[in-house]
Amino acid sequence: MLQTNSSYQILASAKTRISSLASSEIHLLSLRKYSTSGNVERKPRRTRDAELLAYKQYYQKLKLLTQNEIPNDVVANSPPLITLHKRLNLPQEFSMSMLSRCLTCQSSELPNTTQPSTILAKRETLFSKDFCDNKGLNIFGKNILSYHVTNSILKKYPRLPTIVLNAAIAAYLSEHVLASIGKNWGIESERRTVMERFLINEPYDITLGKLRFYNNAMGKNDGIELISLKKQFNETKAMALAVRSIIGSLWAVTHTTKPEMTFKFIDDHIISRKLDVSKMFMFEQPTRELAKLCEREGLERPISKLMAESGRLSKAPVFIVGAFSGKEKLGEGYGSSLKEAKARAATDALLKWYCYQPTEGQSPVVDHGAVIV
Amino acid sequence: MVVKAIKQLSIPRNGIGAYVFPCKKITLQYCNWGGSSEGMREFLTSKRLNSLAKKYPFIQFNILKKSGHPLLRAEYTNNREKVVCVRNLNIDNIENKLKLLKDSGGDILRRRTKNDNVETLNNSVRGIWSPIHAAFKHKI
Amino acid sequence: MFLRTWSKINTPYSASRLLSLKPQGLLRTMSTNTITSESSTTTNEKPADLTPLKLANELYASIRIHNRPYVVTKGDRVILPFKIKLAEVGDVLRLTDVSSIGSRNYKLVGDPIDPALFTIKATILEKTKRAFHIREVTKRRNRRTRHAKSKGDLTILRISELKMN
Repeated sequence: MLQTNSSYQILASAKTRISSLASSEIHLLSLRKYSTSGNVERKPRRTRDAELLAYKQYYQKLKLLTQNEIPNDVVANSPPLITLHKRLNLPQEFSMSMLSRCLTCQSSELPNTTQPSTILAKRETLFSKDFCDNKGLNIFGKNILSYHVTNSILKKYPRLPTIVLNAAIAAYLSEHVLASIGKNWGIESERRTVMERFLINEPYDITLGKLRFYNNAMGKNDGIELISLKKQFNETKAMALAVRSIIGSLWAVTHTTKPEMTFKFIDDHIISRKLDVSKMFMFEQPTRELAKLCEREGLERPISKLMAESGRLSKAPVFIVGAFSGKEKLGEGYGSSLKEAKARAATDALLKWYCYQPTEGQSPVVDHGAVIV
Repeated sequence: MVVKAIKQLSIPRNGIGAYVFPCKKITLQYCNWGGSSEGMREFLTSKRLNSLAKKYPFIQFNILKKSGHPLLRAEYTNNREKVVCVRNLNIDNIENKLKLLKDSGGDILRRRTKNDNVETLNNSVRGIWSPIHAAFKHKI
Repeated sequence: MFLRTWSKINTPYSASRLLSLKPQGLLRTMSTNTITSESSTTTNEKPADLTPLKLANELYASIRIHNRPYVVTKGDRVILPFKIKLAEVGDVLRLTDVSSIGSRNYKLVGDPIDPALFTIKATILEKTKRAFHIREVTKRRNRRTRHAKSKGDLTILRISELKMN
């Protein structure tokens, strides 16, 4: 009745198969060791063995696909990959198998055996060298990201103190931020177990188009949850990994033909986010720091002057204090006491110094670094 | 060091630089037997879905056969979904509903106050008026 | 030199903050409202010197869409009370009907300003709706209540670019 297109996916007629199998096979496989309840529906032995064999074949094929290179002919028409590729406007050279590799975390490698009990014990030793994951791409992407983001923050605010600079970089590149970027890109994570995927006859390219960070040999419903793995590696981390590796592979693919493309991609997706740097400062002794700064820059000693006041003897007095160096006003602050207003004025002056933005076409500003008190 | 940093997170602004289309997946659910799915069946067999899928390659279209009334289920990048029941609708109405879901951003529809038309993350460019700094003092 | 490289943020505007540049033509300072030469650019007056606006880090603009004014800065979300039919979601619009563009201390006024002087671009983020709302319409001395249903259209824009050329 319906024809299949490249970005269609037809999920029809799968449901009947689940309903007939769900009660028997899932329970049998996962609870074989733990439950002997009589609720499990018995089926003729031959069909069950045949189904088991089919499942094992499905599992092995899935496992094979992520060895070495993910074959492009399998994932070339994968709906999640095509849509992600188009959504991000990635270039043609960025192949689907590359994109699929970016979504493969090292921890998603399927163990050799389908027996659930043996998976837990040998988790650490299972990583094999020929598994095609995003570990290397992630490191690569992380370096490109931190290089470009640091570069652009420093170009915009050349006088940021190191500690604030690091916080600003983290505001763009922390795991949570990258994970939310990945979610906004529409990357989905694989939540079904291999058994569930097998039962609805899911094509392999659907799995390969989703973020895989857990081997999914077992589901949560099976009564066992791997706590140690959950602690060190979760969806947020995996999502950040995928985003970094997409950027890493974008560079790998385009740096010879279009070297600026990756940086534009980072500008468009990450630097374009809003960050108010002036809200990241916390000064402990602003007046003292301003005095030191003026001394270092060869300016007159800063003096606080009361510029306006209102209701000194009332319940809610307001003082406006300016921080002056000679005749130049460096900053201005308000406060309900003279001390508070003075501190605000010094903070304002310091913020204006540190958050200074050069205008376009100006020669690069060389900064002496933060003031050390 | 006397300067300390306060942790902040950058806030996304889709549309500056890159624009990521908010609608990522639309599932069209139909029933092969029910009369309320007639329009939906007609829509699925026509060429309209093909042309839509070609025009919007960044949206994944799923077709699901399930008994009951036909549904359109759209998933968005903000992890929300919108579901519209399209029972007894004809082919054109279904296409309009589909376009409505596609153009929507996935947020909950909220009541808006009057004249609250610009949402900004930036500080005021001109500064905030202060009686102490005003050029002309008000006389009582 | 020191003051020049000291950026201007976070203080309310004051007379001392005004740049020494003398405003001419269409450009006028915020606090000296007496200088108003709001004639159009077509007259043979000297064109305005736009350097202060070009050097400004932050700009605002008062744009008009269907003659409704919106004061925007770069990165703002603008919610329009109608559905744009001729443009699709994701399209980039160039906004040309602008009545004023300004920085902290200077602004350029026109009716409208010559579009060659600036670039304001907006991306259509989504076409959505207001929340469904039922209004009860009653008449005096009449027991009947009419329930007027409404679910108005909205178009949401993001100002992606705002700069002087």
